[in-house]
Amino acid sequence: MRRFFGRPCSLMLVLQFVCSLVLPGLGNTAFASDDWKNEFNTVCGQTQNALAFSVDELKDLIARCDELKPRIKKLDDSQATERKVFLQRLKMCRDFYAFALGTKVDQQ
Amino acid sequence: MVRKVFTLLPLLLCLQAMFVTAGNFPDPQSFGLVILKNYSPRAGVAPVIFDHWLHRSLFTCRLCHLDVGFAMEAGETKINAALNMQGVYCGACHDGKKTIGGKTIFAACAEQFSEEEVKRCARCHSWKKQGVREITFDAFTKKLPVGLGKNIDWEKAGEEGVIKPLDFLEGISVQYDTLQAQQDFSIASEADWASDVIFSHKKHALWNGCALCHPGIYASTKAGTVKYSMLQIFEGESCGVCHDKVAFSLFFCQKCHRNPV
Repeated sequence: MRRFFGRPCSLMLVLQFVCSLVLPGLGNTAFASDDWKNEFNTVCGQTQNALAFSVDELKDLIARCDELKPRIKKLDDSQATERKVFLQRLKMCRDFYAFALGTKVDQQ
Repeated sequence: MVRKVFTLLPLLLCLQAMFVTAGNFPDPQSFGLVILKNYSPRAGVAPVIFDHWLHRSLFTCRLCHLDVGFAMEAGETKINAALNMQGVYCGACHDGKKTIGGKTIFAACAEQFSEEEVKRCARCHSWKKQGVREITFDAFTKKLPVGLGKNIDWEKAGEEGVIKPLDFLEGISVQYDTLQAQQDFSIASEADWASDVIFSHKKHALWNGCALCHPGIYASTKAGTVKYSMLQIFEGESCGVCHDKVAFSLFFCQKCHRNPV
């Protein structure tokens, strides 16, 4: 009993503390990594219909592109290539929404 | 006699023009060929020969130039072996795992390789090497329809279903909504010997989507905002970004100036 509540128990508490710090962090990292890609896919998967969107919808998509940019920029050096490719893809996607917005405004 | 000469003169001029332009018709095999030599010579390997005719039969322009991220200008992407091994650019498909038409796509580059595997390097690093390519132009294009200047008629090949280019690459592409193509429109020709250009959004968007052309190549859709000139197009602007390089030659006037004058 003393053994359970003694040193091993302290060890368990320490482990629990470490886990509580590390595991949620790991979970967040994995989630965050998927998160920006999911957002990219959602936002940039709609370029085909951009000209059918309203001015407000296009403005919202542009704002979402702008919010996404710093998140991709933050990718660490191990993802430098992915960062480069996706920043370029995001730029093309954002530019197209801006182009569609300009076209809409001109039409009005 | 003089009258006969004058009657034949337009015909002779036409024939002369045909011979002159015939010399400019692109060789179907080397049309769209890109030589990648940014790093290969320094690494002690032959430059890479990239054949557009092979890749465009399998993938849309958008898949490679937008989703995978290849620049539209030759040599601008600065591809190297390390990047390919990370699974980007050529390595996005050439990873030794992905398959196409039931065949595994060979891996692009490797840090370590056996003597036997060196042959694989030569499948791409084949500049000035004879007989190292596994897929030859003549064999590959045998079933593809031929158009003007004996070049492959890609448009017809797509329409007839001879080719079915992929537009989605798992893990890389975005799942796009169904395209709502804009209507075709005409661009007025200022020359009296060439009819107006009929531009098909549908045909172009099928290969390129929207964001590959707008606003990078065409910044405005307002009628009359952009003044096109054949001189600028021949210098690689607007239509010339693709046409005469990969898409059909600019010498095939009637492909765009479709109606008779």
